[in-house]
Amino acid sequence: MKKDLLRRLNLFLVLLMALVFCCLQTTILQIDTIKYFHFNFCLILVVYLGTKRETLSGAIPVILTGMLVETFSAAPQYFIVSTYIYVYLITQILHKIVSSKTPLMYVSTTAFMSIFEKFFLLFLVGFFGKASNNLQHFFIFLIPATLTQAALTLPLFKLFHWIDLKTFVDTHSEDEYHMNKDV
Amino acid sequence: MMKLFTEYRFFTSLAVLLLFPILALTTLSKSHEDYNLLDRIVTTLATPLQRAIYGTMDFGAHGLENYIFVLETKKAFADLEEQSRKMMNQLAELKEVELENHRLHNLFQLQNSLTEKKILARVIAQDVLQEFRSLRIDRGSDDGVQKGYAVLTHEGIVGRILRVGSHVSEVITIMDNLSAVDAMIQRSRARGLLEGQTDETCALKYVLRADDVAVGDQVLTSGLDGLFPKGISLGTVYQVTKKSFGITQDVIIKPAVDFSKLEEVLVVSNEHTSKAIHTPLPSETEGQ
Repeated sequence: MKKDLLRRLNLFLVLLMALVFCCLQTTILQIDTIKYFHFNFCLILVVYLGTKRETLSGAIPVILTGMLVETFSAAPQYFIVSTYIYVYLITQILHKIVSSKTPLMYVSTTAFMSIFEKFFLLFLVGFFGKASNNLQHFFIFLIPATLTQAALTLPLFKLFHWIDLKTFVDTHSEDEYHMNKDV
Repeated sequence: MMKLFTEYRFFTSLAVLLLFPILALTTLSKSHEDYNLLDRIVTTLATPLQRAIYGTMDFGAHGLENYIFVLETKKAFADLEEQSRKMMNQLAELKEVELENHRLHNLFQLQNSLTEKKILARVIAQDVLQEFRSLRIDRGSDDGVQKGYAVLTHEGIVGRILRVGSHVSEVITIMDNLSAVDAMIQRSRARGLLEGQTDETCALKYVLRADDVAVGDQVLTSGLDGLFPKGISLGTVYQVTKKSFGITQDVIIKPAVDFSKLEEVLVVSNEHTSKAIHTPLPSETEGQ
């Protein structure tokens, strides 16, 4: 009962965080000088879920986050949800392949996923025959966006981990979310 | 001597008292301009004391006065500073009102020039991802906004309504990769399709190689897409590249609207435009 309640609270908090991130990204982080850093907090959240959660239990917040982000964007339907699902799955695979769980590994994973996300969106835009329109943007902002996401990884991972610990503390149960205390 | 004085005490006292006024009057009869011996002795002794007392009093009085003055000045300064701050705030507010007034005036002029239904809206947010360029405005279906309505400013076309909520709408701007607007060059009437490309520029696609396009040419809406009113500014030609092969030329456009400084927009109904575009042909009406 308690475990179930905490799990729901955790999901609610994850979505609340995603909502706050979206609000920040659509308003204050759109100021001229800042917007070129291409902040994408939700992508980091998805990578975090990919490294910390079991495949199915993590997929639900990922899909809901993707749907939430889509309401804040002009992206065609399921563009962002699909991107986030792929980001999540690749992160899970990488996490299983690479045994090292160091902060550097988390930073590299996020950086790689930031590149993947941009590439995947370009690929999806290509389905509409508009990839050439996005190509210039892709090359200009690939590096700044990757560096920004990499720089934000550890502080945000710590925040997400803290919330996970606060809302899913059950010492008698298995570590369902595979929470790594190194972060 | 003392015995004699005591014996004739009355007479001696009488003599002294009689002599004192005479001596005093004698002294007064002297010139006022000169100090006599007594005066000199007294003044010599009194002057430093007087100076000291006066100086102390003066210092005290002036010091207190100065202190009060400083206190009052400090208070006055604080008041003035507060007043100045308020005035600066008021000035900034007035400047903001002036700028808003200027923008609204421009929008009002645009509003008067259009016959379609118009709704004034404020921009409240932008797209969450940088790959897509949409805006969110504070007017929705409750205010009469409908999907597909054109969004303009006095500078030119902003985009069109993509999604409508009850009190909020999403505008897909002409800068978005997936947006397309039927456009024409004002000077040569050459036509093309305007698509968003980067944060700064758009591409005018499918412009025939033979068409006359030059840098600086004005690009307007053709009105043929049934979404935007005809003749509204889209931007100016920034770059023209003609490759050695192909049937089209690459035309880059700098948008007329400064999207980074967008605050108020005008949502314009395209019902009138749509009707004009979809006017049935005489042959179609005959058949009905």
